[in-house]
Amino acid sequence: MTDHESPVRGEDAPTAGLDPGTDPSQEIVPLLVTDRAHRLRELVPAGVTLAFGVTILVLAQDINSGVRVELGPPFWPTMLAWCLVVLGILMAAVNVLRGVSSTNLPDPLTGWGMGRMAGTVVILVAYLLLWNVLQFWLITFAATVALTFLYGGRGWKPLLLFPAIVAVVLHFLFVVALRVNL
Amino acid sequence: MIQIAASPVTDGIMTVLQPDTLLYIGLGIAVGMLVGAFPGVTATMAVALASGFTLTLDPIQGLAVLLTIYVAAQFGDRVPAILINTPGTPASISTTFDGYPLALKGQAGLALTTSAFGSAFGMFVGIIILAVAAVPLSELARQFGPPEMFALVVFGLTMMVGVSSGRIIKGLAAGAFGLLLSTVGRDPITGDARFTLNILELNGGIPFIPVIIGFFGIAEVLNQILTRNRLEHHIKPVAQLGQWMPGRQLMRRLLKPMGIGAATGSVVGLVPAVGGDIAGVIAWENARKVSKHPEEFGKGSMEGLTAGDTSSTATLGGSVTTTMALGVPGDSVMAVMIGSMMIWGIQPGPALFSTHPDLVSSLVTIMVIATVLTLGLSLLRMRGMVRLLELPSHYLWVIILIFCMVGTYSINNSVFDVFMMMVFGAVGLFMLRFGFPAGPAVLGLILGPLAESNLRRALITDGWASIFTSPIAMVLLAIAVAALVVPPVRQHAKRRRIAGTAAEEARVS
Repeated sequence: MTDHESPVRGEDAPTAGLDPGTDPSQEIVPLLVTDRAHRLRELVPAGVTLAFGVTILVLAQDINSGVRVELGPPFWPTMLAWCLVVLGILMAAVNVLRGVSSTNLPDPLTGWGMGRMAGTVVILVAYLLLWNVLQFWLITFAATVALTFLYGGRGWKPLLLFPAIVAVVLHFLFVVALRVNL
Repeated sequence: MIQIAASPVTDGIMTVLQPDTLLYIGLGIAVGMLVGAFPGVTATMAVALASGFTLTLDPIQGLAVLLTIYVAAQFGDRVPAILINTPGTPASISTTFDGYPLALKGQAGLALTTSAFGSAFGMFVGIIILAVAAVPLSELARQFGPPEMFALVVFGLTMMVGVSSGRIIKGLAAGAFGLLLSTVGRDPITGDARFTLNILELNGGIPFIPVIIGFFGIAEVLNQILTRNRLEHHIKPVAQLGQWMPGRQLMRRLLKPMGIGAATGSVVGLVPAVGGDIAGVIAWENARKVSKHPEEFGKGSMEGLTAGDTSSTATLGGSVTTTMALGVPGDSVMAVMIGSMMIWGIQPGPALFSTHPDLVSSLVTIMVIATVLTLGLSLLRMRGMVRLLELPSHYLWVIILIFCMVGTYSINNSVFDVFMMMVFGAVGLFMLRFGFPAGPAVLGLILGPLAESNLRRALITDGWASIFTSPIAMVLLAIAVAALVVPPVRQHAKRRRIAGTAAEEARVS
């Protein structure tokens, strides 16, 4: 994947390896987690899958085609939407009733992390809105300072030197070298 | 004076040997090594981000950057796996089995260099497969009509879903979601508008580079931010590297595991969507079975380390081969690369090597140069690499987020693209948190038009019979079904066996 499902742990976000001395070959079968909280949580992805399928089924009725044929433009989306409906029901039946594979369980959220994510979204939206209002290097410098501060960077190196390097590199790369209209 | 006759092979080589292309290869190596060395930044994320910058380049230069990042990341990711027991990318999972125990024994230096030699050997075997098999495979695939092409897309998609052990249903749902995303815009046969919601920008379909950057960049970083603890400290890297270069005797002992790794990786690599992480683990297990010292495996075995690393890199050649010759991505990095190639006007698939006969030699040359240079770089005793692992993650998060924003905007100078990237970052985060693999969704988005147009053409010609009467289509579909059914059945059987053994032990005690 080389970047896809790991048989040992999750996908795309490599985590710490095995404890030295353990037998790696014993870790390959994912465990089945059967506690109530985790099983009920699976109603969310199943519900979203089902709802998305139904929405597409409704929207597919409104596709206006000049060509009146059986295998017209709504055929393929309708077929896929039915697949999603079936998979949503199957997801609920298998994961909620039987249990969840350990590979489906995410790392736990932290309160500090949620606060930082909310701050990140605000800073990124403000960065996007101010792009064409302020100079690109200036707004990039300000956004980098704000994000670094939010993630715990303190001192002149993380809050002045690092943002200055990022702003200069981005300005040179995008505005000077690639001539992007920023 | 020696006259070199112009041929597609020499043309392809000469294109890569241009100074500016070599410069881009150097850039790709630097980025790839860094990407591999930082846990949490995957090759897919880096290639997705880089695809935003490379769209303005000449296709060969762009491919040189993307492919080199991928090659170099396969070397760089071994460093954190050995020094801090954390794989830089999933491909180096098997490296942690023996790499970290070796580092704890004071043999980190030897582990790093033997791993680099094994990786380079695997890469060269993969490159040979690309050079030999790509054109014959594409010639075979040129016989494919609409039913076979549809079956091929289903095959590729289900292979990617099939390796998502423990989440087949969610993988299928993600694949269907990706296929549905590809229906937004104009119908590929009649040209009618579908799901455009009266938004002008959606007439051309959902732009896939912003979606890919959202899925693999924004979503990954936001997930790391959400789950990282304020007081979390870095694992201290093993700083004592010890002996550096391996002796002849050790290298001779490692030839056998290298051979096992290369053979395993070559076979696994040719299967679409099955990547280096799985190949590494399989080869590690194969090498243990035939080793004279199986008891050392998992406790610091040079053989185990070399077999896994050789195998995981040997998949790369096969992965590029199936991507280019069949148009079905070998893994998620290749799915991203297909997206970039389509923007350059290069459509990977059976007709690729007849329309671009020089491409195979260009790809081979890029990979050979990248492998040789990265091997050289990996053999330098760099203490800076150890210090790099101590860098706090907030620097990385900031760089990735800002690059995602600006990189996406730079593709079309479009704020709409950035908005789409943020929306799909949120969708990707939801998928990550609830266990939907992103790979099948991206694959569905890219291969959707191919699947739809070929299915509809096949059905218009002769109904469902056109698919059921095609032996090639039926074989591909049968393998696809097996890929979905066999892994859960095997897992179920293994779980029952483990539960049975545990019950037996409880009864005895």
